[in-house]
Amino acid sequence: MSYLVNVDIGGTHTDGVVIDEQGEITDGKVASTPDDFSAGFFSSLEVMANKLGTDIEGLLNDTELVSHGTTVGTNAVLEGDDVDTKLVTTKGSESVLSMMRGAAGRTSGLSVEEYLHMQEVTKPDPLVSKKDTYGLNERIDCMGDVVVEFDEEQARDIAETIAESDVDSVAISCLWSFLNPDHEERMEEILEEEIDSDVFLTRSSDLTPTWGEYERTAATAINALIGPSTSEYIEKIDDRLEELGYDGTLLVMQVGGGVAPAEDAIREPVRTIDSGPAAGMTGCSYLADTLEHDNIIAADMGGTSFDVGLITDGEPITKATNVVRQYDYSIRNIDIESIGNGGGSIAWVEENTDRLRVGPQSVGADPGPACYGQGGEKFTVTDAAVLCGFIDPEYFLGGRESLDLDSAKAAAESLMDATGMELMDVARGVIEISNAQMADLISQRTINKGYDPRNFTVYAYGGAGPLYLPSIANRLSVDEIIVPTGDSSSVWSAVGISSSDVLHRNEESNMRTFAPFDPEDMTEQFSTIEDDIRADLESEGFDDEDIRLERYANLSYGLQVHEVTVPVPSGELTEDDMGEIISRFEEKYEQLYGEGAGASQTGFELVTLRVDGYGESTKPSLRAEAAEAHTDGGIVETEEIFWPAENEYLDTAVYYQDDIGPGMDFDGPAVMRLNNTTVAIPESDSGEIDQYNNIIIQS
Amino acid sequence: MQIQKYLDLNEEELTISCRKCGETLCNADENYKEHSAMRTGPVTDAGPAFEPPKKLLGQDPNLEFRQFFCPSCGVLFDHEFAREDDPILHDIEVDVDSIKA
Amino acid sequence: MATDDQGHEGSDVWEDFQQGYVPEDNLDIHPDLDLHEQYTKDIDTVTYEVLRHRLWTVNEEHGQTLENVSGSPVAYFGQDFNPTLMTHDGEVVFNGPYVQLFSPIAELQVKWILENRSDNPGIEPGDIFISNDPWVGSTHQPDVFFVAPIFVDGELFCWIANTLHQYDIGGKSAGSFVPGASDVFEESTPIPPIKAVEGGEVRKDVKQMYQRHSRMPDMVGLDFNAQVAGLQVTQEQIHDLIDEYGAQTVKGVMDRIIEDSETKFLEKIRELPDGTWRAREFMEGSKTGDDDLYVAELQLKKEGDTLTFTNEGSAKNEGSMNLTYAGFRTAISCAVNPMLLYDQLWVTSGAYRHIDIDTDPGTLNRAEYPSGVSCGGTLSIELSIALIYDVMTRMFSASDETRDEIITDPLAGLIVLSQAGMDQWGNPFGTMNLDVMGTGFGARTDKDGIDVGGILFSPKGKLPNIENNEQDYPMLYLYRRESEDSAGHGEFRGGGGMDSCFIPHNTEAIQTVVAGNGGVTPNTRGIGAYPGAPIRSRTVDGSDIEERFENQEIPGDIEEVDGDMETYPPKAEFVQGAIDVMETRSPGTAGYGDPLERDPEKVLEDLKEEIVSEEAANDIYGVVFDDDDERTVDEQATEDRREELIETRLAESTIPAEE
Repeated sequence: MSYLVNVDIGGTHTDGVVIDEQGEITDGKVASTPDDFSAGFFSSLEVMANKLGTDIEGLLNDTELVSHGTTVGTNAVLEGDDVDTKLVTTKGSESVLSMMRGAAGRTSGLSVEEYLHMQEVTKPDPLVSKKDTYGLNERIDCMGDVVVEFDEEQARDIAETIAESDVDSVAISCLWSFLNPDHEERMEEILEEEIDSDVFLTRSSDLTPTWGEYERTAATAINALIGPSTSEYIEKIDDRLEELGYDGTLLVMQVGGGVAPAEDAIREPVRTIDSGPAAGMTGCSYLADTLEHDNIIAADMGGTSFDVGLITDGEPITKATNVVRQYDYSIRNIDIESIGNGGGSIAWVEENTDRLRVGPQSVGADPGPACYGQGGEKFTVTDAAVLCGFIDPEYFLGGRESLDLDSAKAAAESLMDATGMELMDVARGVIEISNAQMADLISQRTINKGYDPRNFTVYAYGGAGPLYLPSIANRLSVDEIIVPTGDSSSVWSAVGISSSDVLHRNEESNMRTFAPFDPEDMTEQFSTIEDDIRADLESEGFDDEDIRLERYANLSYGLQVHEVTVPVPSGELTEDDMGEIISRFEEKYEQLYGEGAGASQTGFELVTLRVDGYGESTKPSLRAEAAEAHTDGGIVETEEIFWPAENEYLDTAVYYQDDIGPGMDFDGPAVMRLNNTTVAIPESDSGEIDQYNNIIIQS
Repeated sequence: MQIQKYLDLNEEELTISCRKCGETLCNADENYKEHSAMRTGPVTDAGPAFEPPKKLLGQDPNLEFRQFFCPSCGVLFDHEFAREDDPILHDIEVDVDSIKA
Repeated sequence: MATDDQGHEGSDVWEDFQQGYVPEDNLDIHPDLDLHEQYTKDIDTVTYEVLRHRLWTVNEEHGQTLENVSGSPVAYFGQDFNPTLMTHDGEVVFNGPYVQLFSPIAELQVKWILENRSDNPGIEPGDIFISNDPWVGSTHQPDVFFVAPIFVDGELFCWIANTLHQYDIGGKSAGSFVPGASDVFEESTPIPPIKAVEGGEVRKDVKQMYQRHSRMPDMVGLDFNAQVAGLQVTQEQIHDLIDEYGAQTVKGVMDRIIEDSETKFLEKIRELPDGTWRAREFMEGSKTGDDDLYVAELQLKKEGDTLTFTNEGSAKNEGSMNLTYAGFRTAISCAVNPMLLYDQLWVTSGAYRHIDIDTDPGTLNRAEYPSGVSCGGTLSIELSIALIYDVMTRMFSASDETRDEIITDPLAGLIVLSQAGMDQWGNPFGTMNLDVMGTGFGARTDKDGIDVGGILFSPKGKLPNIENNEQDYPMLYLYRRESEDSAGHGEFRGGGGMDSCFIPHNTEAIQTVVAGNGGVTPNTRGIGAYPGAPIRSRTVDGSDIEERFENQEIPGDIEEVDGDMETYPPKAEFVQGAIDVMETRSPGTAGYGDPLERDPEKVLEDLKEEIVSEEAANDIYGVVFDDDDERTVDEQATEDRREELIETRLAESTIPAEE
């Protein structure tokens, strides 16, 4: 046997999957262990090893590749690690992190309702305080020219002062270093000479050479803040795996899509923040490739949030900056938008206006929804689904748990009193409002950005996704929904990690380059970036045939701000290629921003060049073993289930895990109660299960 | 009832008093500031960041910085900038009749 | 005056153009225009919540479309736009989360169009009106409103509008912001509502007339397309909603959204006693080059459920400093929304049902034609907002229900810096420096303000990076940071403003116009505390900056630089030469509560973060520190110092009534 092993650690659960050569998936879901996340990692391995009839050593012996998605970095930055971090920047720019670009610091990453509540908002605690920030006498301008020479003597003093203090990590981020890194590099050398080798050092021109000092400095500071704990954690797992007999590379999921070998991930842990949802998206694009879908709405609904990302022309849409703790930072990431709307979202009634509301607060894993019977008194979306009958209280999570219907009813009482609604009206209302919020988010992500949702297929995953997304898709006139790999959709992020290649992505800002572009200059610039990336990939052991380089250029119109990314041909570029790049840009601009929106009379600006370099890793085979075809799901049982959108009880076909398999057809209304998730197929829909166990729902 | 961070209005007696020390200042329909301890100084008394008006305007508009304190405990009720001849601003005037009603 | 056989007259157009349009309770609309006035009140809770969320989303998408199609830096970086959804008679249902000032007066535009365009040229499906007339319903001329009716079965169902700040729409200064104007004839000529799109077709004549106003007709033309596209996309979405839920239901939801906001507003207002609250502040100079002070006064009277604003005692309109009725009206929302209606997504229309404006025409805060008003969107409105905060925070102090909602200070001054010349790339440039966004954010009753928190009512307006400004303009920054001692001192202090210090770079000189207010005295006071620091601009001319750079030195403060220091009045015009160092300070905000009541540990923290100087810590906060390396609070000395300061306060005071 040769296995691919993937473990994805989330806030509440650690999901593991083992995929064998036939594409058979074995999962291992355990509670996360925040005190030492590596404990959860290995207990997930143990659960899976046991299911496969072996122990961890046995499993790892047969394992080709271990990949990992971690939230250790996210937690460290959210909870404020006990780390002594220093920042070295250009003198005069010491307030870059505390000012947070003004209003952005009190609004970024917050919902409208949060940031409008101005009696409460503040800027977060500083990433690095001003007393830990050092201003260097040096200055570079917007042409990359030196205005003030690097002051060796002062730099040495700063390095000595830092060396004498308690310090775990140092971030270096100077003005215009992305155009001219000389001063940052020199500072790094001096620091390396002065401070202990175990101090974590990072500089902005290496990590993220992008325009805009606030976002670049924030990225560098976050990298420094979480560097010590994340690298310790990754090393711990890496070492332990080796002890247990694993002789391959540990790959770590990155937020931009793709994985990085442990040694790289250790240097740039900021790229692990939010990498879990990115893994799910990578999985979707891998599956989309197999199923020949170009445009996907990836919809992930878990216990606390609903995340949406888009794949167009087979590629996940990325964005240049991300937000954590209200800090905007420039690390390219798969663009996923999130709202507080999950199975555990709390229903409540607004004072004075008596509006019924759902979320954004949720109950979390403990105590969980009222129906869990663990003392939760809040009525949640999941409680509503239990009352409607989608989830059988006696057969929750494949019968491993049972639910408490009475607690759910009791929790609904305060809502009934406040609104004067009947029990089932409350249940219907909560699901309808929650669905409307999710539909609105999808519509914002698509219509808003120039995409028509009707040209997309929805991939629905996460523990709660398959239950609600089919109804939402109907509302948006999307006519195909896929529940990827059926029951494994609940651990889809873990599956996604294993479908990721090793990715090295380098971007270079190209200030003030206007058309006509010089093909020779551009070729040379791309070649330089490509040589760097190829060298990195080769040093990681990838052969030429496993290396794939993709070129992209970001262009904008002279007096407009929107940048659009277009692919650029490989090899020696010609004048014709230059023309082709501009016409592709114009075409895509019009598609995204509307006919006549581009001001071509103001010229074309080449903003950035980018190369994505992939080292191809072993991918899971998705093909299910030719299982016995279940053409009709056997003898279908039916139940009366209350459907919120239809606002009535319908006689609904009910399937359990063993009833379904590849080749099966089904008609709505139907409910599939699987081991880890529930799929609800509305009356107007029908569908089939394909050879990969994907549940395909069509309306 | 409280009518400002440091001021109470007694609805029985219809007087205004200091919330910090209880000192009665005046009747509810009067301007409490007339009965506070008022300190008058140049604009620059408002803090180190303030400049003399003459430096900015090239002429002196006779602006002053007035602070109003509780005459008993000295807590800062309020301040105002005004030209020398401007009357003390009657900025809080609760309608006594509406309270009685 | 238009009169026809059906007795329709509209409003008194020429009086509107003179004094500012004030709609009557009953609009005079041509009887041939049918309004969709019916709606159902019978909407279940779930439908209401689903549709409410959907309408918010549709309106937000409207803003996104506008931003996308425009692609203008003004829209994108300044977020200087806002979409608005209104009922058939112009009451605002939703405004976007961008610049608040635009939406409450879209209502005035709609009402004026209903009264004065319903007979000729008529209001028809597919029409779009454009307008930037400050005497009808714009803050100033660069803010152009595009307004469209939506019809259902021949009846006017609702209105949508969007407003976008234009690069340039004419007038004697590039950018159409003319602080040096003596009257409106030196500014862009106001355009009252005219039909620019007729039945879905753009009227080329009108579009060209509009573009012809501008120095940059191409860009204005692009934004024209963007504003039209935003309205047309939104029209379709509203029609889809009506098809799905029915017109009566959608209208019923709109009505209830406004009613909810009214309910919330009244609930809070009813906790307050009746009374009158007053404010008095100053406008420094009526135009560039004028150094006189002009008094602005405001009275807020509360009687039952009604709030009435008057401006007795305010100076006459003069120069460019003036604000029309429309500007004043929308300024009120900047106080009511954040303090009372934050949980209603800033729907102010319910509150406006209970707000009367009874100001005197011919004054700086109720300007008459033809006084200059192009600073209306910045300086003049800032002064009015400050005055409104001054009276409202005092009124809100009178009830437990509203006191905790106080934010002391929206912005007590504003410094608008216009720069022009040749840029480092060899092209002419002209800009309004967006460092203006780096203001403090006011104190709350239980927590400090936010240092460089940005303009309160523009939550999405970001401060540019130094690298953004240096890329786009020929400047090099020496520093940009929180301005020390600019936060208004208090038990809870205000948020500090920002110091920006820069030299021209790769250019010979920068033509500079400073248009500011709140430079001598700030325009809001906070409660029981100290005011925030005023704005300031100063230069050191003929400096030794080049030698310093040679010596690998970056000055830490403009006062370290040798040369001739000049401090400018709030409104000034000058040339910044190649070696002239310039510093601007954007304003801080006022505090809440007596600084002697502040936790000394917080003062220490502020000292360490260079927010408060030792001088202020000692003399204003009465906090004394131990003289060791790791500074700590000397508790006993602090207690003594505070007692001493109280004694001094009383010793230096007199009681006016006893004089």
